[in-house]
Amino acid sequence: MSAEYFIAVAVVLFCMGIVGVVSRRSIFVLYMSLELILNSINLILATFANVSNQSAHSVLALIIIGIIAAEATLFLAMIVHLYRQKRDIDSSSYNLLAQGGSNDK
Amino acid sequence: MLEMIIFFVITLFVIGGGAMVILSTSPALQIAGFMFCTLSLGGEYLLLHQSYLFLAQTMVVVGAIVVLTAIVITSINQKESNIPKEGIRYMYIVISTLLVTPFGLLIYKTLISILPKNSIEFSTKGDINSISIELFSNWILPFEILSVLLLASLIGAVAIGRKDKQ
Repeated sequence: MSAEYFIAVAVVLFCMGIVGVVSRRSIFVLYMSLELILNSINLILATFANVSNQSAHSVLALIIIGIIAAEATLFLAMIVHLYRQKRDIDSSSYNLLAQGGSNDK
Repeated sequence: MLEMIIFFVITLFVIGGGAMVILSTSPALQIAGFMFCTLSLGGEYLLLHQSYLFLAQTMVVVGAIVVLTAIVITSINQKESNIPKEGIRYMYIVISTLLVTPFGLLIYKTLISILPKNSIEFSTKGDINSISIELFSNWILPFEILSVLLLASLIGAVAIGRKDKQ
């Protein structure tokens, strides 16, 4: 079985993640799309670990899983915090730092 | 041949789950697609003979992160009327797909060019023995930094998530 198939799946997943980040407004979709991107990188590392027959790639993938956990913790806490303020999951309504943006809904 | 069939079935779940995440409007369908996708990625790791990564993916990503996300989504209990109205959502998705496709092709060609010319074969380098030896001999500093990062994110999540005193 060729490793190119796995790379193709990972690249498709990466592109889907980027499409989700740039085209959707729900903060849950943003969060899950970021997770898809990180998971696709993990799949690439696992493929390289198999074809190069080294454990270093697997260890790096394991560390990225830890980073995914840390990112998920902070992102979900931030979602809860933002939802408590505005009762909204639309990312375009959080424009406090934008020029002329207001904290009012 | 059987391996190829399993690979294509798992790939169908991965791509289908990812498509559910970015196409559906219902948070329940999104989290279901996310779960399908991450669980099937564990299957891809098994096909790559990375048994320890499969365990980590199943326990950490599916068992903790997806469940935590589902709990947050259900606790927020978003009403249908509060879901962001994205009338021209499909147009944005099509345009961004067209823009991202050349970029994806570039990544694919680059990765294929640096990929060693070996096929997927059985390897013991992905089991817990090899990974733990590698982790505690060459990767001990990143491992410790990761533990500090996780502790910092834990404290940060508590600090962000607590209610403001009025």
